[in-house]
Amino acid sequence: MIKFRKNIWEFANPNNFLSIVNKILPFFLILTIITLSLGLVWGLFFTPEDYRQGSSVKIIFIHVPTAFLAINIYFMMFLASIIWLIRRHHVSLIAAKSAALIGLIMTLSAVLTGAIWGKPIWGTYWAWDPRLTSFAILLMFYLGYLSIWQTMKFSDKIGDLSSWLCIVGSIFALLSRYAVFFWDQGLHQGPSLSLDKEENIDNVFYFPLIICIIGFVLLFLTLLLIRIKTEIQKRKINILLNARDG
Amino acid sequence: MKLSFHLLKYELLFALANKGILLSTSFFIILILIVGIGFGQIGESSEKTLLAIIWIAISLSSLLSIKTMFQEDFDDGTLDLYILSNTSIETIIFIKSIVHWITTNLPIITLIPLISFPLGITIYHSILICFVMLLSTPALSFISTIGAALTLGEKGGNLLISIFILPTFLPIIIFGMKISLLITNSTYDIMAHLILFALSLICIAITPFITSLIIKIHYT
Repeated sequence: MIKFRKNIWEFANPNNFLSIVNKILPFFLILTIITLSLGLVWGLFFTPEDYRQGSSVKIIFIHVPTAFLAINIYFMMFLASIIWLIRRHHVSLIAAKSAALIGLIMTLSAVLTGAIWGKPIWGTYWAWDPRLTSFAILLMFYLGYLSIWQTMKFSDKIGDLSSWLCIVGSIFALLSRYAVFFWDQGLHQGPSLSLDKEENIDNVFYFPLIICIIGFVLLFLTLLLIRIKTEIQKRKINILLNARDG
Repeated sequence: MKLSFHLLKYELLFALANKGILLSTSFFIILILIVGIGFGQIGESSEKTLLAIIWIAISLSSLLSIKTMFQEDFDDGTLDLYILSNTSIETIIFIKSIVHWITTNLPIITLIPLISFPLGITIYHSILICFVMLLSTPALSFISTIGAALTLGEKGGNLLISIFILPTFLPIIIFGMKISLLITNSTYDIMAHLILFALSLICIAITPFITSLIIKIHYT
């Protein structure tokens, strides 16, 4: 039985969190499957070909959502790390830890789909274009954050260290991004999804793209909840094992 | 204040006695020659590649002795006494970073005209690049103290430091490379210089505080 909650921090109790997650996870799963299949099928099969790019334009429906998530997952990790450092809620730390691998995979898939898209359009898989470079930078910071969890055992101290690493990393990732963009804008076109611009991409592509982005965000949330759940249960098992042995 | 000067003197003497300078300069020369020879085999030994090699070599060699910066003091309990003492831990980190810069990066920077002249950069350009490095490499020493603090008490932390810290050198390396390229092209961009030095100063101002916060984690 879930009681009425006065503030959001009560979700930080791992048991409350787990009971909520167990209730909402099936809905998230179904919603993700519906949205993703709707967006991808609409985008990949029921949109016209671009008059210049041909059918290769359709990779946008995977490339843009994964790139969008790759950046925002790091931002989410940054926020979760700050919450851990200030309010010391374990769920927040576990969320940051669990999001890192998903973020790494999103970065890799954005880079890979970008490479596949780049070959017919730009004539090259990889160029040291500012945006590609900033994704390479993001990849390095994800690897650094994951390696601290891979090499050291889970403890509050390592949680603090990894949170500081994430904060320092996001500062320097941002600085590097602006350093890369200092001289030129590169091969990429400007942002095509901003709200206040006249020249958004055509509506034919716009609506399925929005659905795809929502679908990928839901996919991320579902995966994140599953990973957090697993991590909490793993820590519970470890505590029980330690109690039995010691 | 008196303690700070004593610490500076002690740390410098200690570093000189340890022959750290010899090691870092040898590492730098070997790295440059190896990468230079490697590029020579594929016939790519231009001024641009040499610049890239110099920047990469200087960032790698500033990570060389970083692991020992706090580790020895942490092991024998000196760091506990530093934390308990009147002098703030930030000051001590600042002094240690300065000493690290003087003993690893400064000798390398003075070597650069000597080593780049025979390899094809004109002496005037290499002196200008030295000047840029003189103002921007302190940031490298200061940033790498964060890595030293993160891996305190960890066995085999050297590799981890490289993984954590090399990406954070990127803003300095990107601006440094671009400015070196502009210098060899005999063009001048005052904005780029100002931003590089501002970045360097920001790193010097902020990193002692971050490092001290991370060191204090090990004592809670």
